[in-house]
Amino acid sequence: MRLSKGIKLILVALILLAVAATVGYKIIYKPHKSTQEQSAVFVGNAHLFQTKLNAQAKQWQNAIVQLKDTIRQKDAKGIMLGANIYCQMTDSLATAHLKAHQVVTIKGRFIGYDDLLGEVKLDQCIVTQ
Amino acid sequence: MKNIFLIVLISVISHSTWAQRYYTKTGLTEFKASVKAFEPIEAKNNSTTAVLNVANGQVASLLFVKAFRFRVALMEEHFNENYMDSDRFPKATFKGQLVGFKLADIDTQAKKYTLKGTLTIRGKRKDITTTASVYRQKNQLIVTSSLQVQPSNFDIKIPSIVRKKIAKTIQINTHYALIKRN
Repeated sequence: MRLSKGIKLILVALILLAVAATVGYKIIYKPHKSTQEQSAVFVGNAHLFQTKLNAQAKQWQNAIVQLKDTIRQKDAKGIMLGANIYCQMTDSLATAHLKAHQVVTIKGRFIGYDDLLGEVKLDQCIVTQ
Repeated sequence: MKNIFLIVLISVISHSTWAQRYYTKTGLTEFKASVKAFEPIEAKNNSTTAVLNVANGQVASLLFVKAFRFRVALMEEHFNENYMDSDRFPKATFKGQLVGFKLADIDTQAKKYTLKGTLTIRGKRKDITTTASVYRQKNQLIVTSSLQVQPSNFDIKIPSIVRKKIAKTIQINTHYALIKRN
């Protein structure tokens, strides 16, 4: 079957349009990056991270950090590490098997200092070991 | 001897003050600013901190703007960078009062109270009055509320090109499950 030049042009245009739409869709609807996929800019214990925050909190805004420390307390949605760092888990069941006084490594995002309760707050936390 | 007495007195007072507070660190605050026929604009923040002093009905809550989760990551990025400027204004806070609140009145049936206070977003304060509902669920106090605000209340500039896609009035809903502070 020989297609006329016009039809060929239309077909090419349609294919290009479909490709552009697909690429555009993929860019606009790119999924959130999980904590797992992101690398930690700080690795250490809760006390050391607290020291860094006391020196310069602003630079750590939304930073992904990895903390290895003792669980001081547990609740339904997260755990308290060290003196006052609350880690809200992405999946609350991830810490179901853990107990207070156990040492755990958590990776999460530092969202800020909670003035009302006097705590450092991390969210999107996962247990890395 | 006097010092020991003072220390004991202070710890007893501070403990009893705290014992009158119920709180959560993982309260739900959501907002909706959708316009029909356009992409839904809504997000949830599951990291809201809220404290209720049951002795006098005083309420304080705080949330981090970046903890609002949108279905579409790009929308979340625009929300933080273009509208909320959350690097400069990372927190939104509320300080107010549940008028006429009495802990003894609270049971499993929801009780409505007038909630009055000041909402601070992007450094701008707005006095608000709304209704809150409180009921007991096992060892928790569930406090829910709704209010409506406008972007202009907090100097949030909406470019004319997208104005039609964003609701003129933003609906904010809160659901806090508070537990007693030890």
